[in-house]
Amino acid sequence: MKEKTYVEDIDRSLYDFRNEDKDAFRLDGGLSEEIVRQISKEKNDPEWMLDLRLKSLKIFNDTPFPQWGPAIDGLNMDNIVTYVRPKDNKMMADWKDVPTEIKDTFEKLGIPQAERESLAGVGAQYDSELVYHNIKKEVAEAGVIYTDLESAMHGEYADMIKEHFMKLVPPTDHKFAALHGAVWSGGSFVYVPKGVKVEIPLQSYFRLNAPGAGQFEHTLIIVDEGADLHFIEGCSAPKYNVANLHAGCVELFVGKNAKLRYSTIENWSKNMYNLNTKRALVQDGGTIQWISGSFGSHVSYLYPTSVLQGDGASSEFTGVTFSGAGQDLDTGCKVIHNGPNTKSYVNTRSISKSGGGNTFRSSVNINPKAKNAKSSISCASLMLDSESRSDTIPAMDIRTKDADVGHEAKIGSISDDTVFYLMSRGLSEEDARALIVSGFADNVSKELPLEYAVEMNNLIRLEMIGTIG
Amino acid sequence: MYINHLPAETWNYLKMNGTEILTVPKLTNASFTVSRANNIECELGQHKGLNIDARDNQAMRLAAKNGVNVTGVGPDLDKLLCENNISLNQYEINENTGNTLLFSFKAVDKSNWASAFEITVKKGCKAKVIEEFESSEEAKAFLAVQTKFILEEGASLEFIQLQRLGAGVTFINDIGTMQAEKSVVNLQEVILKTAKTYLGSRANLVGDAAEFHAEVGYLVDNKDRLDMNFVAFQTGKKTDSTLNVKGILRDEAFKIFRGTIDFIKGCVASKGQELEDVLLLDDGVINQTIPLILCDEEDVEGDHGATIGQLDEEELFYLKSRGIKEEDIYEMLAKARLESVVAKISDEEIKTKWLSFIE
Repeated sequence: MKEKTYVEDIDRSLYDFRNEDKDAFRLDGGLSEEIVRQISKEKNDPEWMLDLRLKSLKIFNDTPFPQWGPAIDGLNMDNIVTYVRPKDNKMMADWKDVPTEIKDTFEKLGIPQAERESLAGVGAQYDSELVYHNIKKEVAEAGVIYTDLESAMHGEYADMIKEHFMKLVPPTDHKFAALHGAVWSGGSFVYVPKGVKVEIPLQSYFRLNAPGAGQFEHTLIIVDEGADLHFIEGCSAPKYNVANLHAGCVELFVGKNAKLRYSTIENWSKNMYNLNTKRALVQDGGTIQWISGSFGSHVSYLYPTSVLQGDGASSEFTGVTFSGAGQDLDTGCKVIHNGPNTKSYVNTRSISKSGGGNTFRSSVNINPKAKNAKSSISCASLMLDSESRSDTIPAMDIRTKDADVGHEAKIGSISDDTVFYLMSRGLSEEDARALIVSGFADNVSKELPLEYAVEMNNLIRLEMIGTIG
Repeated sequence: MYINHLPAETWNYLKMNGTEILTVPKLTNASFTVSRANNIECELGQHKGLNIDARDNQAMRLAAKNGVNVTGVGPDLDKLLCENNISLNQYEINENTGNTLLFSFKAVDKSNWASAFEITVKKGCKAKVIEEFESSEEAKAFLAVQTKFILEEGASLEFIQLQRLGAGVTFINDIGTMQAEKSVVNLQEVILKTAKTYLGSRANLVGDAAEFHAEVGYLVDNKDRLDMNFVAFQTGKKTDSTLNVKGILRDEAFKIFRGTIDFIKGCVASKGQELEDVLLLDDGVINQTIPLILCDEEDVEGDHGATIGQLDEEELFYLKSRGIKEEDIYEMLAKARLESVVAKISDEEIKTKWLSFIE
């Protein structure tokens, strides 16, 4: 009899601890103009921001829920609390000043240690508010700005924020972009001046502790001409029996000949609806690199978008998605080639098991002015049992003859022939299967900084048992 | 009328999920000729329609699993044919009949025609069915043709469709195959003059070891439009589908290729493969390609690929170094692509005729 290979679920115990939020300040659940005005008041918004919030609310109310992706019937906006902040919250620049309970949370997640060892700066958001932001002195001295968005909006960068905020992802983009525009809170602002190369990464970590809450942080990064940055985003939450919602927004502006690498390890709990929007605008000769690991969430809609606007702009997207029981993860990317000589490269892997669903969804648009554009897309899916599901839905729209587009996709299970081959070289069957699965995701883990590659390997802790009879 | 619906939807703004035809004229039974029907009788019936929502993929899957011959264009065409009282031309190819049918359509100016065929290939029998669609250059017409096949166990079919239609013709070409175990369909589709063509083909591989293989060659030029939807619906064990599509777009042509391999739970040891290769010759063209693999069975192998654009630089350099001008190279290659599909047609008379059109 054939015994199925068993691959263990991702070990979530590291992320599943929770704090009581009895002292937190929470707005009522649901979404109304009154709630939006309350958030705006809490944030001390300038008038233009309140206007944007109210306009976004109207768009949200007028826009239907998407029908083309995984079911989001379990998400009842009337039950979602859009703003929760820790009691007496203030954003701190020293870990010692962060409230003990929150500090403990991030200590468990290893954030301060990572900051000490390998990061140029760290931001930490707990529920709706940033609780800590710090940047290494020498990086700050080079003119790099890394701060919370609210402070930036009221300080000397106010005009820059106004000029860029939700210009790349307008509230009209889709229903959850509109929701974000209405209730956003927290997030980071990064500015890297012309020619400055930040040698070690900056990281923002987002923790959603409150049950039934939403997190709507906004990340705005501007990498000026010739500058270079690696930004890392991590997210996690404990599991509750009620739905939580993440509808963040990331807007990245990559200047001429600048380079931005944006890495994400997403490990939300399995009650989370992760309806996140990420987009980069890349000017002449600039490069955006997306590294994306999606492991958590009940449902995900996540498609980082690269708009290659300038001559010779390029994008790379490297992604791995792992879905287990109770998960339906719809991930992928979009690339829009507007400028001539633009290049895009997409390489993804997805693994599904125990009834998990994976969809790779992409679009590549090559517009008439994108002469000599080149695009290469490769996606592969591995199904570890027949209870799971895996779909690939790649779209290409080419509107110039001077384009070169290649696409390939494969879907399948672990090949018995490959297992046999490895066993004939002396490996046990368990080791052979583990090696195949690890190798399958290797293209992503090798792109990550070492400590995150280790985290990813921890996330996909694979245990193989069984034999083919 | 909503047609050519993608078996799994994607972002609406891409406008690839399906096609709405806003104006459909009142249709009458098409005039066509039948030849080579050696002892194969036609039994006329009435088209009964199909009561399924054209956007309801799950309903279509369920119906096909239960033996309903769902087609590539989709249920709205069935409804249209029924509403217009279009006759159903039923043929049976068995061991006592000939095995070839040739249908020829010439869409005449101002005609609004439709035809529906249901052709059964009995157990173990071999059949060859050819359909030619032509019109004058000037004709303005609407033509809808639905061809459904039922292949019994071990039956095999060679199905050849060839098309040259004037720019003023709107053509809906709908194919559905319902295939029992070990049945095999080989489809060859040649489109030399596209006009405005909506082509849907769905292979319902419900029997174990059923196979569907398609070779498609098209040229879309001027302001013509080609809107395709190919679906291999694989529920039987060890089923096999391949789809090879080669095309050329020039002038201000528009083309969308939807190709789906749909592996249904239980289709163990099945395979599916699809490939589209498109040569773009002018800047005014619009090419849309969306090749899907949908999979809820672990023990399958599916892959798809697409190459879109111009010739590889090295190939171009090689041919130029042989003294051939660049524009001649592309003309030569465009012709070669179409010839490579037509050359595989086993029927010598048809092959010779259609190769001469390419020349």
